[in-house]
Amino acid sequence: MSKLDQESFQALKEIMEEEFVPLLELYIKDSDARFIEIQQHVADANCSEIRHIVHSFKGASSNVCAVDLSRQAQIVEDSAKANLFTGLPEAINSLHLAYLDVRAELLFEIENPHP
Amino acid sequence: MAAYKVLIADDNSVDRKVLSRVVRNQGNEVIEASNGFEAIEAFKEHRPEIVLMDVMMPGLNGKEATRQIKKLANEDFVPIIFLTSLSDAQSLADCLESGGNDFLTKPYNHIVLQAKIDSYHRMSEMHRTLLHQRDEIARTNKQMLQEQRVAKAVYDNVAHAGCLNADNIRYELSPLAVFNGDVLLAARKPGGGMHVLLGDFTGHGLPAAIGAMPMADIFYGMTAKGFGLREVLREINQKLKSILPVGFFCCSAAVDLAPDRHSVSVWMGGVPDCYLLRADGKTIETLSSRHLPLGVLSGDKFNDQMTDFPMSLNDRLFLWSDGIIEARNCEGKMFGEQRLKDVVQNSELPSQVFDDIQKSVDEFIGESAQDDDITLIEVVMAATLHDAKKETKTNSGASTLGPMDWCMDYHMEATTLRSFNPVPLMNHIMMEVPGLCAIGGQLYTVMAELFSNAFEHGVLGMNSSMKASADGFMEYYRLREERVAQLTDGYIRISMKHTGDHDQGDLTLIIEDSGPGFDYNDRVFQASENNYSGRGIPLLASICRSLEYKGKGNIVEAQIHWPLETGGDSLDVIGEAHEQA
Repeated sequence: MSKLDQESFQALKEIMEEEFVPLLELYIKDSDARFIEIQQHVADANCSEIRHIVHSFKGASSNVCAVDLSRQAQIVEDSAKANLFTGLPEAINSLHLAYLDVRAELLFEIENPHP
Repeated sequence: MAAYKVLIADDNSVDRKVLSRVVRNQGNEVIEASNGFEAIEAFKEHRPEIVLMDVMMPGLNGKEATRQIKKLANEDFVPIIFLTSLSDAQSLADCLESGGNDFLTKPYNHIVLQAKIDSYHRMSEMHRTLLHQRDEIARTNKQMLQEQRVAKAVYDNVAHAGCLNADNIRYELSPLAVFNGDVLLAARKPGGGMHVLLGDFTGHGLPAAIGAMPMADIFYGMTAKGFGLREVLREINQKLKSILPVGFFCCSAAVDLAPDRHSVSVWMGGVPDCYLLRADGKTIETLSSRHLPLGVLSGDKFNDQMTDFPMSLNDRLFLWSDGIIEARNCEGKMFGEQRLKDVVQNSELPSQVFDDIQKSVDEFIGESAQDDDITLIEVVMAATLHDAKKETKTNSGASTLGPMDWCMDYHMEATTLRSFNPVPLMNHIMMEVPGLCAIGGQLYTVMAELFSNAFEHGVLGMNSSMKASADGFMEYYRLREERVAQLTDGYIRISMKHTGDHDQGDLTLIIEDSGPGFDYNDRVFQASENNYSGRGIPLLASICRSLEYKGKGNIVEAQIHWPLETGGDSLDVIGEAHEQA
């Protein structure tokens, strides 16, 4: 089952036209980098930095119509904002797994763009 | 759809790309920035009309960038819309607090986004129009003030060309605007004495000043040419009647000050009661308006009758417009006539009355704003009203050659004499000779006195001894008025003959009247002032080389040589003041 809101996703494709594929590639590139960066801050237990990165990731995910992923990021952001480090590494790990599903789906879209 | 220049500042490249695409798809031009610093640089370079600004950005955040952009925009209106995923009320309110104009919450609703861009664009347009109009108004206003300054300078040149600064005059004119509805004019008469006019035009500012210009022009021009005040007033009335719209007029008090005759003639129309304060500081005569204001009646209905008062040395005349009486205090009460009269009556010294009036009006008004022009003038009767400076200047000789050898005869019958004063015309003819022009004041005196004697004593048969008492003085002028109105017979003939060159000349002036004359051989002329009080003959004696009565005493011949001898002892007078027994 798709992790993307299909209706919005189609709309996005129409809006972006030739920029659609570059946008998805940009999202994957940015997000990959964010998860590498976030591991460092988890090691340092730096809630503030974690919060900023997850905030950006949430916005970007929302923009590529990964609605559930964005919602999940919101929860992690809230915990980080409340400075609740307990359980945060686990939540980030789970967010990462969810992202990988979305990432796979987007890669498929990139390779097989619908007419 | 018009293309607006939109700056999008967001560090999240995916968010920025999507928003940028949406805004561009709506027909706008987009400039992108990925942090606050870039946003400021992009603003400087591209001057976007609208800014979409992410709140949280690394480096320089959205709020700080907003502050700096607003500063750079100066008075231009650059709407800044914050982009935020925050949705609690406080966070949204914070966005606006920091200088943003609005916010847009993520995820964006495309319809709302375009509506907001359009709406703010309309606002920018309005702001631009407003600035443009403001600048236009400022420019127009500046130009108007400049024009008013020029107009005021012209107006001042015309309206204040007179002798308001003479030693015997004190005045206050407080302008409510650039221009004042009140006018004060004062001019020396060529033969000595002074004309003073206080005018209060309906309204203020430009409309009032426009009427004052021709008024001042006529006043100064005609006074300088030797016209009597009645003729001046008649001309001013005629002019104002023809130029002012219906309902606009000029309340006026006009004064003809004659120190040699120790009298003052007053014409008042539409102004409040004024006072004549005697030198003793106790006796106050009330002068009241007897006429309609200037500019109301047509020429045939205008009444130029003046009221004569004896006025001795150091008697003081106080004239004012209704501004003083209607000056209001904080409670809206008017200063009033009674308060004014009390001040005049209770002053310790006559010389303090002017200051006391000013002081008491100031104290009465207090902090309340003036609601009319306050105009006040004090005219003191002085022994002479000559302007010493001007006299020496005009005596400095003539250089151009005018008419030198000429003669003329001017014969006037009763109907002409009833309404026409030939003195200005005669004076004008004499003034064509530069040598005579240099002694214009003295010549005017000779012409005016001899004509007045011929007319009043010869043609009208008046007896000047009547003027010895105050009652007689009034009666004299009443009787004169009556006889002029009834005049059907009589004539006056004026003859002038001039010969001369560059350096000197001789004028012979002969005035003949139709009166019975008098036996001049009976009496011996004495140049003693007391015997000729009010007749001016001693004054003539100092100007003429000879003054001779001829025939049955109805002809007088004056010889005037210019330049005038400084000694003045060469006078050879036969006969006495021409007067009916």
